Amino acid sequence: MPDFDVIVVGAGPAGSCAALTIARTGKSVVLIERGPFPGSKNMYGGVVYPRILDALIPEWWNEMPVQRWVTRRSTMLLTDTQSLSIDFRSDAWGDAPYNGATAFRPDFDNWLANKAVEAGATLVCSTTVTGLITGANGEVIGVHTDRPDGDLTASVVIACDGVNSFLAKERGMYPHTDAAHFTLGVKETITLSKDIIDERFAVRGNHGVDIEILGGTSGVNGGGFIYTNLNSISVGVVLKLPKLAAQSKRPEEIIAGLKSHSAIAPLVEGGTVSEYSAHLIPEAGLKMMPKLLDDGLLIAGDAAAMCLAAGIWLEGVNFAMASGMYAAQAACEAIEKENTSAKGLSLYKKLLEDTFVLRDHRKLRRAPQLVLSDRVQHMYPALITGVVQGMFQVNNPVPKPGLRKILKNERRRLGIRTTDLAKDAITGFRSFG
Amino acid sequence: MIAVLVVRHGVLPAGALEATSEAKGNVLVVGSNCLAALPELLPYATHITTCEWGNFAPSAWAHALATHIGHEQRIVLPASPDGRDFAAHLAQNLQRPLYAGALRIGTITIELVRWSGQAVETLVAAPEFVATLQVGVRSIEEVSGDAVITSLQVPESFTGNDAEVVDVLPPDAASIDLSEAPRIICGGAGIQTSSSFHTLFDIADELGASVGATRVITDRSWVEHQRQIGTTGVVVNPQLYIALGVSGAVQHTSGLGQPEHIVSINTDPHCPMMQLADLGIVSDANEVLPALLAALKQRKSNA
Amino acid sequence: MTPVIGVCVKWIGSQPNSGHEADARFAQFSASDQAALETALQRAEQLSGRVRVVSVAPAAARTHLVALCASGAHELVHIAAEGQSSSAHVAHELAQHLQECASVWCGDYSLDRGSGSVPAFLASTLGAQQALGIVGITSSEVSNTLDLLRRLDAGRREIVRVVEPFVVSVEGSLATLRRASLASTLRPTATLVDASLVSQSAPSFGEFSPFRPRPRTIAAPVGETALDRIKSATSANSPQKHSEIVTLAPEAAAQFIVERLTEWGYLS
Ligand SMILES: Cc1cc2nc3c(=O)[nH]c(=O)nc-3n(C[C@H](O)[C@H](O)[C@H](O)COP(=O)(O)OP(=O)(O)OC[C@H]3O[C@@H](n4cnc5c(N)ncnc54)[C@H](O)[C@@H]3O)c2cc1C
Ligand SMILES: Cc1cc2nc3c(=O)[nH]c(=O)nc-3n(C[C@H](O)[C@H](O)[C@H](O)COP(=O)(O)OP(=O)(O)OC[C@H]3O[C@@H](n4cnc5c(N)ncnc54)[C@H](O)[C@@H]3O)c2cc1C
Ligand SMILES: Nc1ncnc2c1ncn2[C@@H]1O[C@H](COP(=O)(O)O)[C@@H](O)[C@H]1O
Repeated sequence: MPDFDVIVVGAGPAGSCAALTIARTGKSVVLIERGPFPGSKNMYGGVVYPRILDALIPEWWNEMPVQRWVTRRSTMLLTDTQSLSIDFRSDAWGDAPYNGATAFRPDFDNWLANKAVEAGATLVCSTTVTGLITGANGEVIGVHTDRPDGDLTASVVIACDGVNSFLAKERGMYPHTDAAHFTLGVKETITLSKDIIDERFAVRGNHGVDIEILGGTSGVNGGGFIYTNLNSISVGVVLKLPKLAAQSKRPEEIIAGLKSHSAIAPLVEGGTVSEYSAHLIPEAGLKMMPKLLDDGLLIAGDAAAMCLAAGIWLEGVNFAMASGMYAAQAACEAIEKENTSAKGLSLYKKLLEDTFVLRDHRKLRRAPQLVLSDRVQHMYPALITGVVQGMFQVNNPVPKPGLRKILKNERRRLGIRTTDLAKDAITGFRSFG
Repeated sequence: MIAVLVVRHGVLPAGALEATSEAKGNVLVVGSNCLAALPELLPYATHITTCEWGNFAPSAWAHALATHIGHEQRIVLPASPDGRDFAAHLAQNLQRPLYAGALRIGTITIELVRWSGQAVETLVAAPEFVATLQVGVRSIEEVSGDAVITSLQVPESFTGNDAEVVDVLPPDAASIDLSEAPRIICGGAGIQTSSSFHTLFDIADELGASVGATRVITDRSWVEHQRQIGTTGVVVNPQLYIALGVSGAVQHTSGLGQPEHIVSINTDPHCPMMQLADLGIVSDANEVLPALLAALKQRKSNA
Repeated sequence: MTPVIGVCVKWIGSQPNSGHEADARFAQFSASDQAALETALQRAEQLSGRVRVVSVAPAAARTHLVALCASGAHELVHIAAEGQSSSAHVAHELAQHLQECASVWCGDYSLDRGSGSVPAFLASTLGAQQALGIVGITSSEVSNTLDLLRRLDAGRREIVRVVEPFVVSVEGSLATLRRASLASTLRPTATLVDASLVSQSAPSFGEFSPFRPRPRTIAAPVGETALDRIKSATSANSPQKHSEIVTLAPEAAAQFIVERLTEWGYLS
């Protein structure tokens, strides 16, 4: 008899949703977390899209620890001296069932893990899983931990140990990965009073803003973001690793550069930096996804590279929660059918295929490359802002040029080939259209 | 107010004179060979009561002395190790509150040092209390005129359940060296590795200085405890004091004396050590260490 | 009869006035409290005794206490109390559950109050011998007596001999707490006793402010004339003392220090 039906490694959003789902079926599950409490070591940009919780925690919005509900989303294009924003506001996003929310991971992850504990899961913190235990036929039957007498056995192990998963790697489930598949996210939390935030970002009450930024990263391919919390804002950049290394710039210099841009400086002015953190993001989407299951083992969340990150896009928590939930459903089915081999666990793949998790990834599989490409990074912002400047600039007595002419001039000025433009437009349309 | 000083073999505790000044010169000296401690005390005292008793025995002493000093509304002891140990017993016997670790005893309020010297708690003091005064927080004041000296005989019937003092070990060579050193270079928690810390010894060689440490460092066992400067370490009085990664908690600075020149290297420009310094440098101590050693060597080879 | 060895641990919540409310979920037990527990566990092994952890602590400390006890304590007494009270009161409450203990082990100073007086009050309340601020145990025979090394001031140290029952407080460097095994972390084995306060004390909480050194009184200035006295009080004629704070890269910092030391006459 194994110690538990299921061992879940890592109490991030993926792990906690997995444990919650399993505990609800009455099976025994242990959730192992290396931090002193769930979420203590976890960082991210700051916005979650929790609708996937509808099934698990009805009316989650009444209890989830939220900083602000996102009711405004902006996308900003920056060149050294220009900025262009597309700004969208929806009052509907400020009411149940809501859309996205800013939340602190130590609060959010801890809350979610406690839901699992309430449902009957056993949570062990300050404990690191150091390896997999395999049975006679090479199937996974448990884990080693760093505690004395720290071995545990289970019918199924679900690895939710985050980006660069040590467990998936140990099991050889990752395809060859190189630095190009990761971006580095760095973030500063800047304390500002609620009144100042409300005024600068034009929101009231517990409504907040999510700004995604293209450009402004000092020539390193990547993107930036600004999110409003209740009494602080998160400002960060996501940087492509090889470029970062090649330009030998320090991430904190790049954030400082972003913060000094004339479009950003007034938003952050007068705040004090209360926290600085950095974390890897699996960026290549489908391309770097590991094998998702093996005998006795399932991989979910960032561990399975299920993070939709395309420079300005940062959705991971929702994918993590969904994949954790599906992994748990597959594990439960396999245990009930007494077949926990890769074959027995294959429901997991089907659930992923059928839902947004893999569909979105498939659809957006070329997006990261596109968004991080040199053209999108360095030329299109200049092109677009150039066009807009041409349209808005008043050069009396010279008559206004036509749009087509401006576009042509700007394209020539920047040396962008029409064929590339068309190609990128098609990729963009396939991904985002 | 009366100051109560525990004397061991004629040696006054750390902070004895400050407690005496806080009590405006009114002191009770209890312990072994009290008379030997008087010369040091005389310039600061108006009334001295001696109580010769032998080895430290907080429980028995508290029983005995309670009746003799119970009429004093305010009793203050230095926050030295013996002071701390004895104060609680006195307070318990007198059924009074104990205010441990005072920064200042005011007429109405009392200020207590909290969070290892990072915060101060201000309370309205009870009419009668026992307090311990942090070492090194106030100046000492000479008084004019001769002190009145009386001695107190305590009947031997007072006993308590006390630990037996087996031996008192004198400060050993390293700490004597430190306490008399004219130049000290001291490392604190800002120094990240034991090997970085040991660069201090090379710099000290170049400067003709001795190496000191904060308690955080001695707790990490990077150097022996004899190198700890402060209330529970060695009291020093150098001319030149260089602090690297030292925040300047009271328990540390109280053992510092009055150096003529203080240099502080710290990443936090606002910490107390930077405020005390003649030259404060905001920089990473771990990187300054090898650079300073190199600069000193360079200078020597140029000369 | 199996001897019972008491351990007092204090759970430290958030720090007042640190500018930034510390996250109570990160709260811990001090290194010295952990050292106390470890030493007590070792003594219990020698004497085949039981370890009883006692704490006056708020409800939020509960899971942390249980996790701490997983390293081998046999009993946990949680005396529920929100807010602070005086050291004497805390000791009085702890003593209710330590009466039959052969020895009681504490940390030398708590991180927040930092008075180190709870153990002394405990000894006084229990009528037990005390040895506070222990940095070493010098005797090794198993008996009801221990020789302990403790710090005095000015670099002196003393060896004291305690006979049971005694109360000891230890410094953090004395021992490192062992890591709890996975099994005991999963299924806590310590018997949990819920206790409540036997007496209420008025909360003794004052106003908190950042530490500011106390001003020092300077001796009255000497001088023949009023002008001389002013000059001497303000050191107007003596060379100006440098008092500067500068931000420098490491190499520049080193150069600057050498420059100043030369100017001050320490390097010739
Ligand atoms: C800078 C940045 C910004 C981001 N912004 C957003 C955003 O705004 N919105 C969004 O939805 N997503 C965002 N993401 C992505 C998101 O953070 C992740 O996709 C999500 O956290 C993945 O959840 P997870 O549960 O798979 O992994 P994680 O959240 O990484 O959790 C893994 C857990 O496992 C634990 N663990 C790891 N190894 C072990 C071990 N060996 N033993 C025990 N425990 C272990 C860890 O301590 C951790 O608790 C961002 C990511 C970054 C880096
Ligand atoms: C009863 C009692 C008695 C005590 N007795 C003593 C005693 O005798 N002696 C003693 O020293 N302490 C004593 N202490 C401890 C004292 O309260 C302080 O905790 C201790 O002095 C702090 O030491 P620190 O300055 O090294 O560490 P910290 O207070 O942690 O300060 C570290 C400093 O290093 C700086 N820093 C961090 N990183 C860097 C970097 N890379 N480069 C440069 N600077 C950096 C930080 O800004 C900070 O100012 C006692 C405490 C108590 C309660
Ligand atoms: N509330 C408490 N509960 C249990 N033990 C305590 C408590 N407060 C203090 N102690 C013990 O007394 C030691 C010294 O604390 P203090 O006297 O507050 O400096 C601590 O290290 C603990 O061992």
